[in-house]
Amino acid sequence: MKHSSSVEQFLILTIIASSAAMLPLTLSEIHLGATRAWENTVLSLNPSAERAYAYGVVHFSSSQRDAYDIDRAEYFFRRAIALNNRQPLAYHQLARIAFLRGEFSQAMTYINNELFLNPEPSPSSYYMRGLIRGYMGDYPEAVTDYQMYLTRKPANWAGFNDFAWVLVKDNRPAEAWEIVLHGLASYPTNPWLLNTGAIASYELGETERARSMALDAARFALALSEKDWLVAYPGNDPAVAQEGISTLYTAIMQNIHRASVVTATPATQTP
Amino acid sequence: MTSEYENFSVTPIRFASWIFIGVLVFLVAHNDMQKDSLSRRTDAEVKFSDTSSSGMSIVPASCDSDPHYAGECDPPCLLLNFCSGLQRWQRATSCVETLLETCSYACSADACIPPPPPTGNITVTPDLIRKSATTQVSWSATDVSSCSVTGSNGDTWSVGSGTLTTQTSTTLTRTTEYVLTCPALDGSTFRDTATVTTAPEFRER
Repeated sequence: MKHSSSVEQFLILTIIASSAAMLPLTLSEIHLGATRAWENTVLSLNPSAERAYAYGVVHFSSSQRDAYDIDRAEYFFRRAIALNNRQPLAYHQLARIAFLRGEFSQAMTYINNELFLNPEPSPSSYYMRGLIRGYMGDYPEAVTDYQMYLTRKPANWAGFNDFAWVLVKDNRPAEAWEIVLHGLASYPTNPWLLNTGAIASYELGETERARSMALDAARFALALSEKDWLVAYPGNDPAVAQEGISTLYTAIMQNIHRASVVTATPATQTP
Repeated sequence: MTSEYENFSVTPIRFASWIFIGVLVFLVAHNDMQKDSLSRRTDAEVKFSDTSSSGMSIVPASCDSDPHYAGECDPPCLLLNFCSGLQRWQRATSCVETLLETCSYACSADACIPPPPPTGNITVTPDLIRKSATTQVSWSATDVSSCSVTGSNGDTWSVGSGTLTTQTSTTLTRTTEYVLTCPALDGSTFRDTATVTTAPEFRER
């Protein structure tokens, strides 16, 4: 009995010490920890590729700030593939994670795996590959992917914007302008499209139009909320939304400055 | 003689305590792991803005890269006024659009543009004729809805716009004044006049 009471004393002390250690944790962190323990336990007891994939999706959504953790999402997507290596969407998600980390070659491998395995890939698969290729500087191939995407999904503002981006990068500003016009017809206040339109205009020598569009883009970018930005970047960490808005706004302001300088130059030279 | 270990039994309270300790240890360890995970986060998109050949900064999006949230890839709804044709609309952050007004002339940069003041003129060629001759009456006007011309001799013409129009007068026997009258888009009325003079006849006695 003497030993028993000392064990209980030890338990009580441990509980007190652990409770003190828990003080820095917020309720949401405790909830998150419990959720993770639950996920680990359930997946260990009843492993399934579908379950692992579903857990991965939970941790890879910009709309779920507390749960967002791409390391953990990657772990579950890899588990899903380990349990069933013919899981195309798990490859798609791994491609997105590799892309976010800047590992573009790895991302290409994953997205091509998805397209190989998936008999009916979603339009977003082509969008994703276009995005990766665009970041890699492979613009002609990226153009092809965005064309395939827009054929399947012809009214997405980000599709228009990113297609125009790779066209500009491929030195095809006239085509980029046409695509931006299509997009602006449906989304006249979209700051990304207005900014890309400004750039296409600038590349075409239409500097006054470029300046005007960039000014509009800045006005609408100022009104963007973090939620708006996270819709545009669904795989991003919600904690960096403000940083992302700032990047967009800074880019637009640089464009206004550049277009203003060029627009003003001929006037100052006029005798 | 029984040992103290043999007397030790797992009661429900003890079992619950162990579980509790286990959860606490996990949470504390996990909290550290999470902090480490965040500090190692890299994100190629966040600070990415590409440059065009002229040095302009482009920002691609990645909306619709996620196959599960295609329906959520909606454009941002901002509180703003915008023009659609002659109509001036307001879009709320709830994405509900409300018609504010229909502009009479033009809608641009989120505002109704008032029509400019009308301009125009009327001329007669020639403006000096012999008695019983005719003349050409020409007129045009801008920013008007229609125009009519009335001569003091009874000639009248009207057209549904201000485009350049030329008509031949009836034979004129005396000096005649032609008056151009056009209701303008800004609500005023534009007026201009032209006079054709008949030359006096001289007879030798």
